[in-house]
Formats: sequence, structure tokens, C-alpha cells
Amino acid sequence: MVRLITHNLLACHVKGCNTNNFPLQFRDIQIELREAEFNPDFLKGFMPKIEWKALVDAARQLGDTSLPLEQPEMLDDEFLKNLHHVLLEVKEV
Amino acid sequence: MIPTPDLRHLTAQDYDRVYEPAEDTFLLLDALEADQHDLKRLRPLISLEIGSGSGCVSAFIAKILGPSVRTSRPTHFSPSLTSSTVYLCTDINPHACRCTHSTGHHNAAPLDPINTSLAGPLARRLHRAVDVVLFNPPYVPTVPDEADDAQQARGIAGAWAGGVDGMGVTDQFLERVGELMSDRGRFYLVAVPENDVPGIRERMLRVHGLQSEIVLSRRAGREHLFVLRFVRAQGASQTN
Repeated sequence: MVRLITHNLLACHVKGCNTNNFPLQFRDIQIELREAEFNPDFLKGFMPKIEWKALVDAARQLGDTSLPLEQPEMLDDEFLKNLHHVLLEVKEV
Repeated sequence: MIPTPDLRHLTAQDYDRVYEPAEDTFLLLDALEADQHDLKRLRPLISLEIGSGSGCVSAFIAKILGPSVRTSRPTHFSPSLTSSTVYLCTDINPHACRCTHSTGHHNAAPLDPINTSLAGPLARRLHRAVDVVLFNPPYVPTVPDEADDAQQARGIAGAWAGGVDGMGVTDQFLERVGELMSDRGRFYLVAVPENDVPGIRERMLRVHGLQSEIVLSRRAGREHLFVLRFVRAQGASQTN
């Protein structure tokens, strides 16, 4: 039960697990959606903390292909709304 | 006056397995409330609570911080989750994670529980990224093994059994907290005199460059409770 914003912050910390320890792999994927309030300022502030490829891959594994492979330079509203949905409203359960 | 989070969804059965908010919890809430203006000005991106238990403390700080953007949504809609801050909540007790999640749900606070010890799998990605760290640790002095045993059992005793000087668990986190805090980050810790509050403060400044204040203290029955607030000492932001 994890939102993708959290998933993007989790790395395996088991002793000796030094390679391939981020991101964590999903198993038996099920998805839940829950509405969250759209806040573009938060998203823009959080962008530098995101491991972009891991987020895009995770979203695609959960069936959401709305994010571009490269982090865009222009943060238009449509992009931010997609990012908002992926980061904060999709939950892997 | 910030209202205490609504915990009516938690039952006596929950409190058999998860620490029920008590004087130590409420002292931490009061310390956060006293700092509410500074906390709002900080506009934290990431809040991290270690040992969130019922979820009461993180739900409370979410109430303080609230949405940073007011929407024009009509008021008859039920409040949706706000997203101006990420509220990461770890607890080694899986049932505590469930309680934290439901407390978030009942208080329109988007709490993200993670079932792990201390900062565990977050430490690498949150290097110097956390703006608010909250820890009401198991601070009660016990025989040495009791703290480790309680942590391994992942049950309610892990919420209080602290080992020698009540510092068995806290010490492990104090070694790491400086790596988690952002340059403007602040760390709130609950402690009792048996933990050696002056010793904690001296060591955190000398070893980790974190200066502290006692922001609140109160007697509650046999306990004398303190809330300490740590920030990076001036000129110490490049170490670690």
C-alpha cells in the first residue's frame, strides 16, 4: 500500500544489498485511486527530489503512460496534472 | 488553537497493539503548536515521523501546515487530501502503520506509513532532504535486552521499552538524523531526565553540529517530559 511519491523514496537497505536496490520492485500489483488536492507549487518544489526514470517506470508498470520519458523543461498545466495524479493519487496496494 | 486529531476510529483493540496517545504525545503536540508560525513559514516539503504509532502527531502537524493553496472548491464537497507536504511515517509495528493510515484518512491528512525500523529504506533517498523530523521514542529505561527484544517483536512494547538509560533505540537514530535533515530542517525529540538531556544536547552539537533548545517541559505523574528541538548550528551546514 504505497503511493508512488513514497515508492520513489524507498531503496532496499538490507545489508549487502548494494546493487539493484532502487527502486523496489512491485509484486502482485493492484491499484487504488484516491483524489488529492492539486498543488502545482508543491509539485514544482518536489520535482528536484524525484528519480525521474524510476517514477516513469513505476507508473508504466501500473498502467499509466501519461509521463514523458525525460523530465520536461516546460512545466505546463497538463504535465503537472499528470504528475500530480501519478505521484499522489495512484496507490499500489 | 489547533484541534487534536480525531482518533475515534481507533478502538481498545487497536490500543492493545499500538501506543495510545498520552501525556508525552500531547506535550509534543503542544510544542508543535507553539512553533506553528515558524513551521508554516518553513513550508516543509518533507516531514518524517519515526515511530508514528496512532498517527496522532503527523495528523496534527498536517493540520498546522494545511494546504498551501486554497482552492475554490465549494465547501459542500468533502475535504480532499491536501498535498503541500509529504508526511512520511515509519513504524516497526505493522498495526501501527495501519492505524497511522486510518488516522490520516479520518483527518484529511495524507499520511504515508512505511513499516520499517527508524528511517530504514528512506535514508538513502532522503539524504539532507527532510525539513521536519519528529520522534517520540521508546524512552523508558529498561534492562538492556528489553529494547532490542521489543523492537524485534514489533509490538506495543517497542513504543516504550528503551533499554539502558532509555536510549537503546534513540541513540541509533541520533547517529543518523543529521544525514536526513535539510539545511533548514528541524528535529523534535521527546525525552525524559533518565535519558540525560544535557548529555544528548552536548553530544549532538559536538558530534553532529546540531544545536538544540528545550522548547517545552512538563511533569506528568511520575514522568518529567521534555521536548527538544534541534537545528543545524550556524556554520555547520557543510559537515556530515
